[in-house]
Amino acid sequence: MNDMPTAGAAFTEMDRPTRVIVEAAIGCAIVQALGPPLPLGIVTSFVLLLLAPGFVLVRSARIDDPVFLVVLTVAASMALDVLTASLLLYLRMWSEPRFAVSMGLVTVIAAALVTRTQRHRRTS
Amino acid sequence: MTFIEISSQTSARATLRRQRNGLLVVITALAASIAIRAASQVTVPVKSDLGLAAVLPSGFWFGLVALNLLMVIAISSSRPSRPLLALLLGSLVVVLYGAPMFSTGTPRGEVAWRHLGIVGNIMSSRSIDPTIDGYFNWPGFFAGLAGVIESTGISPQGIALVAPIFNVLLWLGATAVIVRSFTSDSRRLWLSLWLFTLGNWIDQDYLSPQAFAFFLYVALLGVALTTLAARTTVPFRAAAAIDGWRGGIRIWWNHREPVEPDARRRVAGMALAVLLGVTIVISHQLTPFVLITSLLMLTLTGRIWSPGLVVIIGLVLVIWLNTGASTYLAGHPVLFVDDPNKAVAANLAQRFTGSSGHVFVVEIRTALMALMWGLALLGFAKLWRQGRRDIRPLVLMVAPFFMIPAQSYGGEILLRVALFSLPFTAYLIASLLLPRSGRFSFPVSAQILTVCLVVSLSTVIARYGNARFDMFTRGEIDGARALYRLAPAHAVLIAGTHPTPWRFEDYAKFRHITIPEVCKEDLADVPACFALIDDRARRNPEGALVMLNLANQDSLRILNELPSDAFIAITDRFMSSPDFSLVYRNRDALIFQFPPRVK
Repeated sequence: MNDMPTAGAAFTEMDRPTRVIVEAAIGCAIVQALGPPLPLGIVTSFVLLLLAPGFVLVRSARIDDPVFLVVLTVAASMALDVLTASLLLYLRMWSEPRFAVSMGLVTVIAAALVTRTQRHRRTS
Repeated sequence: MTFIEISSQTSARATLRRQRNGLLVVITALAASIAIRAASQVTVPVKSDLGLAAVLPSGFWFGLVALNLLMVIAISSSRPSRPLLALLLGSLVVVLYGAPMFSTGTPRGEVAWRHLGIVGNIMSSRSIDPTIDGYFNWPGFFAGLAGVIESTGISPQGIALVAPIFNVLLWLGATAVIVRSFTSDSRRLWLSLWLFTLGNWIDQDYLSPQAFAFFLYVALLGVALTTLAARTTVPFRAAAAIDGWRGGIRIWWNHREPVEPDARRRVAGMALAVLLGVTIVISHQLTPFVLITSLLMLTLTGRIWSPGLVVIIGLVLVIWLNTGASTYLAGHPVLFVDDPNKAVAANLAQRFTGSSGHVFVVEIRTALMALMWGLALLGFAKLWRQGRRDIRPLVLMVAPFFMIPAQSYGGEILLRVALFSLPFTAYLIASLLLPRSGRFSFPVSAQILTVCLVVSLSTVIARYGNARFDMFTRGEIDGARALYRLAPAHAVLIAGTHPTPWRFEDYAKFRHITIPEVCKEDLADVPACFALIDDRARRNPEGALVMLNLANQDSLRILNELPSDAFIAITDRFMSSPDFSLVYRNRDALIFQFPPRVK
């Protein structure tokens, strides 16, 4: 259990790009949950659904090729959207704010898991 | 020559190159705008059995030819400019895939409209009911789409309208990853992407689960061919010579090594591949089987480091078929061995029927498929002769063919095979056309241009060959909207035939059926067919609404299912029937109602 960092510790251990993306995802999830007007909604949805969750996962693969990085980021983000939305629908818990918050949570959890795994590898 | 002279010559050449590229950018923008402007002048209904190709103004063709010519000029440069090539490719995608959007401003094809109804049902019910139909047993894509629509606030129709362009751009990104795993030659990369865009006549890029799953499929193969790739250090023949066949296999297998030396990257790649695989499994019926076949073939040829990937995805598929998709599978086997004769008939023979214009379109489609696969095989042979014996492109091009005996997919399996093999087909054709290295000679440029022009022309004919009945008029769409406005809950809705722009509202509230489905073999017998429709309406307590539109009439005639005079005779029957009353009419659509029973 000593190995398990707190959420705050995991956050400070994240590398800068991951931290920026996680902060952006949290911000966008909050804005989305409040029901933003159309142009803002498109921007926050783009970050939350097409960029953030996939980016934090793909960082762990340390891909050097920028095209590959973009493709995998979008693909992984879409995959996480689909899995999260499907889960909420099967559990009959679907609502737009809940979906937005869940996507923010998915991003934070993915970032924490990746950071923890990297930390574990560094120490072992 | 002094250093200063060499330096000033280099600088002059760079300036010249910049000016030339600047000029090419301007011409590209001009060619694309001319083509788009020309496409926007097309009016619907398209009045030719040859489809959109017959009515596109000369400006469109001029733009398309110019873009191909510019591509050949750009790629033949000693240092091809990436921004210029990207602009050219983007322009081609917009011109080729946006042409119907510019002319009608509404989504094309019945299925895109139906998919809007499915996502609408999910959004309104806020749950997934697998008893509705097969789509709700593979609901992943629709669930994600519901999230996108609700989050962005963009209209579903708007998303459906731009979906082909968006999907093809995603596919191109993923295809680029795959091609880069085969070659570091940037010319071959760009020509592959160009040929992929030109050769994608298959028309599966609309708003659909298969388009989404195809993107994930290509992206997953990208991971399999890079981060998870393996190479063999001992050729199989050499291994077999040492210890016979059985021992040889063991030696060969044990002498594989990962291309990616960092185990952490491989683990991350594996996790990403599984994530994409799971999403494919819950989103589309066919793609997981093609994925497993492709991964299995890469594994058996020793090109994937972790054989566990195919096992994991196979297990996920089995679990899904027995849980999420079990309701549908109770009455519909997802994978079965068709009667080979039936499969051939559905995929080939039955497609060569219809009006002379339609048969010509089908012939072009078949010839284009044969041409592309033929050129790809020649490309593979050329690479082999040159000593570049990478079997992965051929293996992945061939893998989808294994689906043919297993599933006819409603007569569409050959189309799906063409799509799944396209990234590899395009790469192999590019390898055939391009010289191994060095500058382009005129004959090489002329060859590339000829192939690009032939494929461009054929693709516009093949892809938009059904435009007469799948590009809907405003009147037909207004008619469908009126249908849902007028229909009492649980009424039977009967359309002239497919395609009809319907099912985009109240997806599960009505029973949808077409006249050919009601009348079956009595379709051409007008009195018998009308009696069957009348009976079908009478049996439903909530009555029925029958919608007949221009697209229905054209579709039945073009596909040789019903002559126009028979369609008109059926329409007259409805007009004169005391049971049915005309409740809506516009220039392109009529709606008749059989009233609900009085309670």
